[in-house]
Amino acid sequence: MSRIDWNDLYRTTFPELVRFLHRKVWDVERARDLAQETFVRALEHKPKKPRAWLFQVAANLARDEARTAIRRKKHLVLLKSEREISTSSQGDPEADLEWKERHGAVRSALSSLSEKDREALLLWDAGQSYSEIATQLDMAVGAVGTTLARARKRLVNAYNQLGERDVARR
Amino acid sequence: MSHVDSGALHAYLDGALEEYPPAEARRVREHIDVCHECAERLEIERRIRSDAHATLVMAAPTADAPSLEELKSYARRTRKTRSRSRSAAARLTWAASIILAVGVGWTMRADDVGLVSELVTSVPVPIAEPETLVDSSGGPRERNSRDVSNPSILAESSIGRGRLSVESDAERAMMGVTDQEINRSAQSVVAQSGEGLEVTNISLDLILDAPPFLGTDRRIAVYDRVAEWDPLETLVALEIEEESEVFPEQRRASSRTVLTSQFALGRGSVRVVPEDDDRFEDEPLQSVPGFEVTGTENVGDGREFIGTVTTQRLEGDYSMQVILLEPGVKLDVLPPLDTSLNEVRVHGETGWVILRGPRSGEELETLLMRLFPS
Repeated sequence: MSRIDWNDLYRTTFPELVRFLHRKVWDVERARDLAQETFVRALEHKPKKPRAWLFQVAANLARDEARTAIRRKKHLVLLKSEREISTSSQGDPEADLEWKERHGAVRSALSSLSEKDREALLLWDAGQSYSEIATQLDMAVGAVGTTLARARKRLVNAYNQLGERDVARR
Repeated sequence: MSHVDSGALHAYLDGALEEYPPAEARRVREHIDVCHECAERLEIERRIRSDAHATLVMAAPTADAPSLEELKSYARRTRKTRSRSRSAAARLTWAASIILAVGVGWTMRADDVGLVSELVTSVPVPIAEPETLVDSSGGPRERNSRDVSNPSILAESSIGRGRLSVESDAERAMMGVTDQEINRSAQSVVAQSGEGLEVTNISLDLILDAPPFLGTDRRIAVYDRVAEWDPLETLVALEIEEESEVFPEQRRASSRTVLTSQFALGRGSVRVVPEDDDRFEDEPLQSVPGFEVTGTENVGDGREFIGTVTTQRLEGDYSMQVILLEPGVKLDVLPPLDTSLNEVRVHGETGWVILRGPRSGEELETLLMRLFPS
């Protein structure tokens, strides 16, 4: 078995992992923390297939996070999310507002997708190959393209519809 | 000549045709080259793909990572805490096992318990040993949030109580608590569903939610999710020898550590194999991914475990059976095949794997292959 270059893996995968986690927990700091936690565990476990392992563990951590959020004080989570959004564009109120709207719209659009479609899309966006996505989502490689095609179309439609609704409201 | 479907067009755009069977990949490429209609569709899909990417990028964070050395240093600093977690969790597991034997009257082999401990990998740190064990008559009846498919609860036993220390802000944030110490307790639940299913659920931590519970045929089973913080969400499923004082007339005699990490989640089944444990690499799945599991039972009667039958729903009222027989067990233990069904089977080191269902042999063969993760 070839030796794993952890430096290289970390450098290339960490940003992808944060992006993947961010679309699940919607909190940049938290996504970063979870990505870090995932890598710490990987260093301990030394998985044989580290990339697939990392995304699997990250998905589990994000799911646990979501469960906790639902079970615990929801309003605290919302406040946290608001805070994160408001600090995201470093003090420019207009940019803040714009970021907040975009962020909210993408989040809503993503939430309109089925779980499997969303997961496939986020995994692809995080740099996973079709084979890796197929393994993680327990589907045939040939089904990944179909899932992504559907997910992308729905995401774009949902996002555009949200935009039209916003324009109509103004 | 059939056109290329949108899935293959996206695979083409994603540069993923290499992962398709070579003949199929070649067909797609050649077809796109000569088919005007598909070439137009390709452009439409290309725009969709590009728009979807642009949409996702709008909410993409920038990630500055700590150096790997910093990360390793953090891992080293926290290793002691993690290892303490493991031993504490193992103690709780033992406590859980003991109270089952004492409080409800079941027995569990020592090696079963050992395997449970082995799978506990990482949980938050319990700082106290469980206190005095309390049975269902005298213990505080603290209900937790575990879901046992809403059966009627026949008995509950508090197994132990303790305090959990949550040391870091990050841990507290993750667990949604603000206190530095929070209560924990372990608990067993015996319940019966409308279908006569008896369920024992051992909870080790009030913080955790149980996975949806599945089981049938009055088989006593213990499904225990020992650690939510376990990176692979290790699930431990044990069949235990039942000498139930609660249902003496339903005495069963099956005892074997299943140690499966497979459980039904409604949408399909999940199999999680501990990454550092290669014992299960060649073991077939107990159910076909993507089909709802409606029941699992043992093959035959008697004390010796010889296999399992998992029933999964197909369309409508139709169902199929996945039968796993232990090595050395002959096929004649199975009931005769119904004339409305077909059967495919394969034999390997793990014994017979058989699929029965109202489908053609070819379809069943395809489904059978999905039982083998590798």
